[in-house]
Amino acid sequence: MAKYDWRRVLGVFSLALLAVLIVQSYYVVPQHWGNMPATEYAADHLQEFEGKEIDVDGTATDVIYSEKGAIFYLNPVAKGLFSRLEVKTEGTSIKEGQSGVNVQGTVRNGILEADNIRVSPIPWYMESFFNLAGIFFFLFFSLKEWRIKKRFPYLEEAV
Amino acid sequence: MPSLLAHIFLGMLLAYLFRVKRKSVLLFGAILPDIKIFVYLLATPLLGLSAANALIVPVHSPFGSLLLALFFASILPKDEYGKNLFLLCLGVGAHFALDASIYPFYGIEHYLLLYPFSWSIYGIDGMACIYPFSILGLLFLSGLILSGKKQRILKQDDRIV
Repeated sequence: MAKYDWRRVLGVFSLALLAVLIVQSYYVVPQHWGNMPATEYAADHLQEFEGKEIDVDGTATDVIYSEKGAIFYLNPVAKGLFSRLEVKTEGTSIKEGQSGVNVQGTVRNGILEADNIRVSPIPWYMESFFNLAGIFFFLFFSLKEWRIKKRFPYLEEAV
Repeated sequence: MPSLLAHIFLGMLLAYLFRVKRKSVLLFGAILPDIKIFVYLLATPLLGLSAANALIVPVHSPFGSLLLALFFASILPKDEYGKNLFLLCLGVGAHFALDASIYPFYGIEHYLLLYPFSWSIYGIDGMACIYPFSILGLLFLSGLILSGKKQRILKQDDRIV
């Protein structure tokens, strides 16, 4: 019988377990936060929360201002359960593509009346810049270490 | 999520604090949970946005990241398996410490710290600190690169003299 390295076996087993969790999450996770792919479906279900305080977090990717306030698309995340909501806004502007939007409010007449809307203090372009800078620094420091070790193995202790 | 820059900065700070020689392993651990982006990009066109949001939860969880760390430690050099695994786990821990400090923004997967054992949310409202932290990271890491270049130039000058 061939001998296997237990570390490799453990590594492959870990990856397989993660794959099982990912597949399982497709069915299990939506039960916990309410996965509503169709925007109309979400709008219908908003009535179920009539008079209740809810908390929604997500990304505003499609903002349309109406008399009622802003209508924007939200990823179905956090304690809220919707992919699209009508939110009454007073004095808070949410820009299209704005990431990091948190709305807390009460559902009245099928509309989420926001008591508190918070927008992330980091603008999206700065976030993108920080992410790119992060990739650059990671590659710089990692490749530097790898190159020195490969070319000058005797210097490994000094790195 | 806090930017990758903030994660790399925290990883670098830990590397200096614990005098880690293999900084690249620790830095890799610090951004390991964000592998979720690849799952997200793959799942969104195939299964839709809502399903993609569900699929990234196991990858971006401490337990899922531990499984990933076990896998990556197994493909790194065998002689330092324990050390590599520890550095990866340290990086992952730093990642989630930073992620938990941005509550309630950027999605629930950042706060499900006990998934798949519990659906409780844990987070601290420290969003106001993340922006200055990122700027500080930018200055610190740029300073590291510049100081490294300066040292190299000085060494070259010594050789010329």
